[in-house]
Amino acid sequence: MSLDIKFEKRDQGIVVVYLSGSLDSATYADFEQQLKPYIVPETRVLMCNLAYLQYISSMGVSVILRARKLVQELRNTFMMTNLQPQIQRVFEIINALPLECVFQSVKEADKYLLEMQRKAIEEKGGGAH
Amino acid sequence: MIIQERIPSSVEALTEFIVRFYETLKTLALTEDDLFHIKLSLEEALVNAARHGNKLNAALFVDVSISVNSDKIEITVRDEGRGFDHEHLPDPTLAENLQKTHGRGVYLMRKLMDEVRYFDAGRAVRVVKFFKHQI
Repeated sequence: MSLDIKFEKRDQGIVVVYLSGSLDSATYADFEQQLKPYIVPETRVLMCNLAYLQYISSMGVSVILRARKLVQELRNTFMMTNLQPQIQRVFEIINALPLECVFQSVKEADKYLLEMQRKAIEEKGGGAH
Repeated sequence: MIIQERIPSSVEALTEFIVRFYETLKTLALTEDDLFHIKLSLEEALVNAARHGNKLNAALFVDVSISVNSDKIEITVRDEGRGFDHEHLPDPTLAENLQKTHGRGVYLMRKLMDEVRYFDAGRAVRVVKFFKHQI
């Protein structure tokens, strides 16, 4: 039961977290600790890529829900992508899978972000006139 | 197969047991779903016993008893704590509880296993899973 955590900082305040392995009672605290510095106003989008997450327990779910809550309190965007069926099932059982922040793939999430950026630029442009 | 162990109330000791038992479980011809559900329920039961029951007191132990036969697995976990009111746990799927970041372990066990029964005032829980295919 080990968890590999990698962070990728992209342009425009986007941070992608890659989780691989097991997010459980033995690994959740380390993940939460490593995640903390990224939950700041400057991180406009926090995207958790769960493609290689094979197992999650309620402690793992809790740390993800806490992160989502904190990100949303900062009025930023929290996203999850590439959930394996067994991981998705756990979130579905506890009714914690909000469709607006779950994407089938990174490509789909990127498309959503591009659309968000386009709207933001349009709104800024509209405000200047 | 019958396994009986007395585990200290620490995350490290529980993790070591879960990893070791999971390796044994994988040698049985179980479906991926059954493996996942059993591992998750075992972890939830053990963590609840050590964390909420024994308050991670190193002097207290969690007793686990597991029996596996051709059609089912039965896991009993017992702690040395004061018990709890398992009949009135909040439903984590209700709107007012969705934002809470705890209280989902027992609910998951009840959804993923075929039987979940608490006894001895909540100090012990027995969970049963009937296999999708006989082993």
